[in-house]
Amino acid sequence: MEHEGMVHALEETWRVLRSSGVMVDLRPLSQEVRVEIETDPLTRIIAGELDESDWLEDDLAADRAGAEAIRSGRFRLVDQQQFDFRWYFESLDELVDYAGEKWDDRVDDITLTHAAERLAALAETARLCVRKPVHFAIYKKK
Amino acid sequence: MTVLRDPEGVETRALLSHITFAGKRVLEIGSGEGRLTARLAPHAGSYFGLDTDSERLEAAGELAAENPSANVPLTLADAIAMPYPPAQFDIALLAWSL
Repeated sequence: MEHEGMVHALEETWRVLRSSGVMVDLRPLSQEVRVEIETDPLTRIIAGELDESDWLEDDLAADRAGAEAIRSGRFRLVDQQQFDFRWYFESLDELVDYAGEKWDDRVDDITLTHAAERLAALAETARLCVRKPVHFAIYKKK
Repeated sequence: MTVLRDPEGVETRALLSHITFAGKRVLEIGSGEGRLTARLAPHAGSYFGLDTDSERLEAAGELAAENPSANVPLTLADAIAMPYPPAQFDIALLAWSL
C-alpha cells in the first residue's frame, strides 16, 4: 500500500471505530529476518538472513502514516510491543519452494548451504525455521 | 506443503495479553486467508473480516468452516473505503496490511 493509501486507511479506521475504540497496527518488520535451526525451544542457530531491505521504505511509510494519525488528533498511541513470528519447514526444499512462492526467492545460496551443513550436523529433532520480528502499535481513538 | 506458521501461537498470545477482546466487536482489516481470524475470533464478542482479495477470502471461509467458532462475516472491500457505517467497532486490527 502506498503512503497516501495508508493515511486514508487510518482515516477510514478512525471513522468505523466507536468512541474510545482501539486500533492495532500489526505488521512484520523487514530487518533481521533470519533463517534459523532450532535445536530446542530456547536454542537457535542462525544460518543466514533474508534480505528484505527493499521493504524498509514501506515500513517507514507505515510509521509516518501512524505518526500523521496522531498529529491529526484522531488517535493517541498507548502501547507498542514486538515479538518473533516463525515459519517452520520440514526440509530445505520446502523452504526454497515457500520462499519462491511468498518471499521472491530471498533465501540466498550461502544461507541454504549453511543451513544444510548445520542440519546435517545436528540431531534429527532440529527444526528449520524463518524468524521475522513483528511489531504492533495500539492506538486509542480520540 | 506443510509449512507451520507460528505453531506455538506467539502472535495470538502477544495480542491477547495486551488487548481485551472479550465482549468486543472486532474488525480485522486485511484478514487474508484467515490464519489470525481463526485464532482471535473465538476470543471476541463478534468478529468481522475484510480483505481486497477474493481468493484469500475464499480460503479464509474454508478455514472458518473447519472451526465453527471462527465462522465470521468476511467482506471483499478496500481499507480506504470500508462498507460500514461510522462507529461500528470497538477494535480495528490492521493485520499485516498497512
